[in-house]
Amino acid sequence: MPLTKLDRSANYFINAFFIIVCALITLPFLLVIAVSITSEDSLVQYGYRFIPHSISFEAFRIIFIEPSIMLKGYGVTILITVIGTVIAMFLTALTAYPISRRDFRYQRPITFYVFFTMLFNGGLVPFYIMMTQYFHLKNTLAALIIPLLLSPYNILIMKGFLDKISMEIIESAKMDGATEKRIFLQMILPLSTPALATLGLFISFAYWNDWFTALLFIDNDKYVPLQLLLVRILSQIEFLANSPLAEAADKLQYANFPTLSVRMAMAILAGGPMLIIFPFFQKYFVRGITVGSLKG
Amino acid sequence: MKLKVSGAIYKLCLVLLCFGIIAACSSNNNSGTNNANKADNTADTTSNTTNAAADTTNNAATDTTTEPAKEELPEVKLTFYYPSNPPGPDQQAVNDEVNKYLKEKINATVDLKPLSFDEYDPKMNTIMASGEEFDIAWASRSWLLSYQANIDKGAFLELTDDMINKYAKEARANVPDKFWPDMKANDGKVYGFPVYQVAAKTKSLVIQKRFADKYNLDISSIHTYKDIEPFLKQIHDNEPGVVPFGLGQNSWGFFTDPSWVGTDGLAVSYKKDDPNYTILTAEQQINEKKDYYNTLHKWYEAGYINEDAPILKNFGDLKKKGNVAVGIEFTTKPGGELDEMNNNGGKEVVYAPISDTYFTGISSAMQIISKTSKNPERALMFMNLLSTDKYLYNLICYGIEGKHYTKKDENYIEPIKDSGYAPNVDWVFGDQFNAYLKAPQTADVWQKTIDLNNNAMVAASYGFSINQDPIKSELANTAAVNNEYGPALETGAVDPAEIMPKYIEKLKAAGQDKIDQEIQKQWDEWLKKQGLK
Amino acid sequence: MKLGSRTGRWFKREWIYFRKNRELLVLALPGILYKLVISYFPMVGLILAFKFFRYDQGIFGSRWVGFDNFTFLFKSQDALRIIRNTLLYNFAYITLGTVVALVFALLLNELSGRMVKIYQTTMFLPYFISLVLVGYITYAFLEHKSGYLNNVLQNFGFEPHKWYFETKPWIFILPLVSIWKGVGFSTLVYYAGILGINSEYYEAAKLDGASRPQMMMRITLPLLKPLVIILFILGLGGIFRGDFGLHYFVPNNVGMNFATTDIIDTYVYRALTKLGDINSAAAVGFLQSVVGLVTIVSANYLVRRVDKESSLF
Repeated sequence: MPLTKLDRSANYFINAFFIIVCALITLPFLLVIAVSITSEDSLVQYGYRFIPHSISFEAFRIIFIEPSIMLKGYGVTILITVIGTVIAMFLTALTAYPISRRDFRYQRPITFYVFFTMLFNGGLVPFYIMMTQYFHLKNTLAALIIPLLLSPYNILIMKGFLDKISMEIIESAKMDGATEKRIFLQMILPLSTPALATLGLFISFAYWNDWFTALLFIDNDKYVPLQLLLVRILSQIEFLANSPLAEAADKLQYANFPTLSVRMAMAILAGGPMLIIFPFFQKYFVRGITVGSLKG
Repeated sequence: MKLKVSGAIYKLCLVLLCFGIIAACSSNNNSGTNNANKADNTADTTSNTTNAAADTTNNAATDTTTEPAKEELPEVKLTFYYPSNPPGPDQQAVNDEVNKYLKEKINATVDLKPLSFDEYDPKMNTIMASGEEFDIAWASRSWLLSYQANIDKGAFLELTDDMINKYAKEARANVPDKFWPDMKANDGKVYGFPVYQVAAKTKSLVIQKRFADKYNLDISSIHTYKDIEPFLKQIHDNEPGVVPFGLGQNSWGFFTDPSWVGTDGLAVSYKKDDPNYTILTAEQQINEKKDYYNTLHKWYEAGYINEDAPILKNFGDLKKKGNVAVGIEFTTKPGGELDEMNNNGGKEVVYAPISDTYFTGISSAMQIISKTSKNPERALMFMNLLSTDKYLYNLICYGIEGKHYTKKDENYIEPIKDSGYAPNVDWVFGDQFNAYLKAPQTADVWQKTIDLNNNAMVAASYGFSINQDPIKSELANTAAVNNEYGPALETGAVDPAEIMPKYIEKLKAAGQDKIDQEIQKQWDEWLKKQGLK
Repeated sequence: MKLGSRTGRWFKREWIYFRKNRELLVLALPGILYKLVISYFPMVGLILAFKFFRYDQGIFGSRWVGFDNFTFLFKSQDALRIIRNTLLYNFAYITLGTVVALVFALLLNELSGRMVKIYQTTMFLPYFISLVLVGYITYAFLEHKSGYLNNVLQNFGFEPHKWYFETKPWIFILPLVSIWKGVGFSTLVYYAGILGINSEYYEAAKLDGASRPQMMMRITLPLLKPLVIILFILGLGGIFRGDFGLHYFVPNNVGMNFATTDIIDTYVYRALTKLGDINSAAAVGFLQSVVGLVTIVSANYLVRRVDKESSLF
């Protein structure tokens, strides 16, 4: 809802520009889709082609050979993504707000404190010891959610968004006797919906794509998220197809295995649902919520 | 100014706070590690001893009988990590069946923990680094969970001769004595028990039979890579669309020289006729290969080698098309042609060996006991069973009879498709020569493999491995240089006259001379100890 | 005595400040505690860069080795090459990424409605593709014989290239891939930033008769400045840390193009994987963090001298 329209020709020009950009960006992506439905034979003979020589859904069939496991994987992933995103969004905004306030005396030290964790980390071993031996979080859903709750990058981006909120609004609310907690919950949060939506997108992507945490902390089949399942399937296929240690009889079965199509199909299966999440957050990309509307 | 001062103070406070926490952590660390593990030990009678090594000696001292009677053994629970394909939904059922049998045999249960190949190293490294308790894991000399590196890090428990004689005597008897030194680490001690299987290698050219027949190629006349050149020319001239000689990023390095020992992967290389076993330095080796590099470059320029060889990630992708006339194969194991046929798009192939058959070691697959294990002696007993007990081995490999496989006759089985248990990793569990046979394996495949092992040439350098500590940074830097120039030269894509001097110069700058001197020094010491010098 | 009373006064003053800021501090507390436990506690692991880590001796019990773990990197003759490549590429990624994303966000802001959403979603697609797959895709385009790029070139009468054997093209290919993959992400950040600008500013500007481009230059850009600076400084923090996936999978690990593709992270990978030396890997990581810290603190200092409000801390 721009306030004034540019003249039409400029508008057309910008639209044309983005259509070209998007076309260029989509091109390689189309290749991913094309390869995922190309039969192994034609891949072997003709290489990657935008228009498959012969179509086959074998790759998808292979991944869904045991649909119950895949569905469970989706279930776990959705669960941790939803829970994780909600908590993480709130926590991130909560941490970012005070350090975006210029009148906050400890603004700079805390910003540095947060920021420092982006540069330095102690590696996996101490983290693993802490999670498993002190908190006993092995094989729990919490182990999948907690490590990703508060990324310094997200906090600092959020701080960047909140920096723009003018001090006058906050001052006037304080005059009215509002506590900081109230200001945060009732003014800052509603004022920054586009920022929160962006944050929510990033956080949910992080949860959705994460498989390494699960690899570390999940031993049983109960809480294996989708991405780790896919990684495992892939590792099996690559092994059977290429390793000299794999037995002849197994190789028989896998020699003509559509490794590459399976890779591409996995990317689609893993990334696809994001196209549903995206519009959900985009709804909140709205402009023009003003303080006036809040007070009213 | 005021703000600056307070900022600095806050930073200081934070730093101090961190150190305080670190100190608190460190004092808790040891007790924490031990306590945390107790929970999952059901009937652990030895839990008072805090350290696994002390544990072993204790038990070795108290158990005086060689064959401990079943009743005397307290029940224990073992953990066994190994790399595997996703085994299927019946993993638990098979695990239960294994436990039923184990309970009877050695009064133990085992928690089988298969991990996929990609996650095996990162996960095991974390588990071991954090001091988490487990008993057995699968390891190899240079692949997953590499042997020497993890010994250096203090992860594996030493298996003394006493222990092996006492708890794994039968399994040890299956491994020929002349192979055993391969299990020795740099310090001369043994830290793992081999999973006995094929242990010999021959480099071969893999030639498609249809072309060999068409051009009357006499396979027996081929002794080195050079002998194949006329054939490559014939293919190139007469068979359009066929790759005469196929190479890729993961398939190169078929140089052989009959006068060398150890052209491939061994710790040192020396000339066969050199009584002093003087090592060939990296520079010497590269220069010796000059002719080979030139030949390759000539082939590449002539179009005999696929143009994309140095950028082709997976050579298998090319081979699958079935139009690679000649490829290379590093192991050449009995029955391997069948395997190759499938990889070559169903086209029949023949092997043309171009190197000696040499022993590659039994340490390419082994089982180790963790230093954090509380029951190492029972773990070893379990490993012994895995390598000697045909029932147990086949149970863990193929699952439950009738449910996961059907028995055809005494030796042959047929896996039931999609039955819910198929880890497909026989080489992880134990002595492979105990395995049931599956079509299309021939009945004599195991005997043939054993013969191959026994007849393989055992190099003098065998059992020697380099202590990398003094030359660590040089090794790292030369590894990077080798990675930069090796594949390019080995696929013929670059002109050796131009690249070889650069390659050698860079290796030297990376400290190759120091490496060669250090290896020569260690090698001389070792030879003296062996009485060879 | 005097000193005592001075510190006493100081404490008293700080205490008053503390009470005044207490409310905001309480809000930040959960985040602070979380970071303390999840990030700061495990930082004990940083000492591994100076140790020879033995599992059975633990992090604290292992032997100190001083700077031994760092030597391999400094001894390397390629040190200059990989440091130069890492710095230059990262600088290119940061600046190009910022400029392109800003331009895209500003242009998107001029459009309205459904089209914006479609563009955004499309631009985000590459973000989901792992770099391993990106490697396969670029291979399909750049492969010497049947790659699309050479086909196109030949159709227009140009000479085909052996892209993977050459060094020059990668200076352009890598930033292009980097932008392709990241543009959706950073555009979204700036776009959301623009949306958050109080519309009263625009109302006022409109009353004054300002044109769209004027508003863009006078309102949108200045108000986006803090965000741009934050993202820029954050980017600088990783200046010594290369994008391993991008530089390993896309140039396909072909030695012939290392001169322009090899960066610290790929070099370390090639040098250390075979040895499995985690201590040296930790040392390199530590070094990268320290350089990042120094860069950021200096950048922040410079920003602060020019414009105090915009600095990060």
